[in-house]
Amino acid sequence: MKHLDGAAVTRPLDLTADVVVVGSGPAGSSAARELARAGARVLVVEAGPWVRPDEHPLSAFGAMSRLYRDMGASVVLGGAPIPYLQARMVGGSSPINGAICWRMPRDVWDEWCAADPALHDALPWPEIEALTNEIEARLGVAPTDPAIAGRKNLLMADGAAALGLEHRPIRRNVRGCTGLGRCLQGCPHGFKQSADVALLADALAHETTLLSNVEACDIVRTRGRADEICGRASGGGAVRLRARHAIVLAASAIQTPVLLLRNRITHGPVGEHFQCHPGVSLAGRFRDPVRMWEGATQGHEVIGLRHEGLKFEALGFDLTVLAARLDGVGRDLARSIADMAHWLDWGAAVRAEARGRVRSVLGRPVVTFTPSSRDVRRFRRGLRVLGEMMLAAGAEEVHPGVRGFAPRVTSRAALEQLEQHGPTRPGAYTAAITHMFGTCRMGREPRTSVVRPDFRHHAVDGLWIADSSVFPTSLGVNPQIPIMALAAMCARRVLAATAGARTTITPAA
Amino acid sequence: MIPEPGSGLPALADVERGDFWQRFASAAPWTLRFGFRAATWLVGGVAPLALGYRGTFAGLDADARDDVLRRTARLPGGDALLLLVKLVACFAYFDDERVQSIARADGRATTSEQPT
Repeated sequence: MKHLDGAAVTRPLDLTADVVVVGSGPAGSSAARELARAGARVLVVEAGPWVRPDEHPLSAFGAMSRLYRDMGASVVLGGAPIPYLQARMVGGSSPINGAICWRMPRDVWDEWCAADPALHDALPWPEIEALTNEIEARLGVAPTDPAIAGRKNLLMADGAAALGLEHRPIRRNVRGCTGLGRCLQGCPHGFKQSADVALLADALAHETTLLSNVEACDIVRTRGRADEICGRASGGGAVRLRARHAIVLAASAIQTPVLLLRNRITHGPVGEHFQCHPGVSLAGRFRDPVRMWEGATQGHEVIGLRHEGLKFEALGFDLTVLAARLDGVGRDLARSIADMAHWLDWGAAVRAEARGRVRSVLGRPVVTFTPSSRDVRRFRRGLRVLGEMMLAAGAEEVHPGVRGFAPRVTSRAALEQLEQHGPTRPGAYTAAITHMFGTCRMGREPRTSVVRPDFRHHAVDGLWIADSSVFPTSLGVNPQIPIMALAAMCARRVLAATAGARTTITPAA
Repeated sequence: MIPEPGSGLPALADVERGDFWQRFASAAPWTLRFGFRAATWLVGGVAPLALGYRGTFAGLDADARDDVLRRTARLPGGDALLLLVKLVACFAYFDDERVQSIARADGRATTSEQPT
């Protein structure tokens, strides 16, 4: 294993490899693994620290202050300041996600191919399936074991069954999970097979070197070809990473377009077509303790309304987030906090149709996004269904968390009222954005896309993009497995284009 | 906003916050720090005066504090201010391992009678 911690790099560092991968999340780790296993020498550069499982903090503040970008307080600007969550650590957001795994939905792939027929041959479905199978096997993806699901997940099954909605245990990338409920702070036992634990570890077992705490700043081009990444180690040293054959950007649908824009690589709609899955949640109180913080963090989902752009998930918040989510102030809040064991929160992820934009302002991302009126209708519909499920599962009252609507609801009639006549402005809803796509989208036409169907940048030779920024649209499902599969495919295209090339990593004297 | 002694959980004022504020200042983006400062100033300083109380929030008794919080929440934008204060207060409160351990043990904590 070769790891250089940028915190210890105080002097200039100069390295060379076949391929430099920027970002170590699901996309970067998967691309690095595919490249390294094929014999390429790879440098992976990551802005955040490498946090080992036994270093993951217990409290939400500990996790958010150390692992989340901007402490989780980055917000989109527009109709409502909705926070978007991204990690800044080795493994990207995968160490702190809910471990939810979905395969690439065939209907979404069909949409992509219908919109751009070139993708049908460039992203062959059988290859996506084969890569997915291999990755899922490596990550131990399997349905949540009912023995460790915890009551919150089993109650969702009850509620969905009562409403006749299709539901199932969530397929998760864990091995030996005991239902500790700490996925969102990082699994302290390494049970979650996040990108760092599994795919990056595989890459590091080959000819890969990881540089953590090093921020990639400049994409250096020589005669139009990208061949060097310049960055800054947190220890202060300047870092120069030369790529003999390719630079693969895998820094996320937010950071990748910002890196391009700050380097004035503005070809195509870079930063445009931002898509995401904003989520809303509903809290409910049960007579008996449900202890939301116990059991698999996110172990059950309702998929029967996916055709409406809605997917429902049980949530497993840390105490901090649950307490902050509870309604009321003063004595009301104090009572709810003392009563937290009785509260649950479930979420609805919305496949939003609205599109936003990512800009680079002084080298930092500024994201604009306003949910459309149809997206807000989906918020209302999602909250109604969540509320009905929760009441059917035995909740005494539910809290939709919608400003301008009743804070406490005890009847299905009131939930119907929320769907039909609830607030129409996005700012009335307490939402959060997790999955992001489309800001360097792929396509045959250089005018309307940033990368070609083989992941290669339209205008800059030697530059490839492997993360979800290349996805033509959002997926409507949790994207980590499709991201890993398509990043592996990107790596294969890089290998095919640079076949036969091998060099060694050489630290400067 | 956090249970006082008498409930199963300690009051915010009693928890071991250690270097919490230092870590908050170094980790939070300036937008959050600025928003929190503004919110605490408005809720803790301006709101009590605007609602007819003499003095700041910290100098009020429990009933008056509760009244200020409830009425502030009903003002335009008041709920958003309180949400921010609530979030950071919860960060500080549950950062304490003793609080985590009491709260995780069960719903054994009893109802609080006094907000801080």
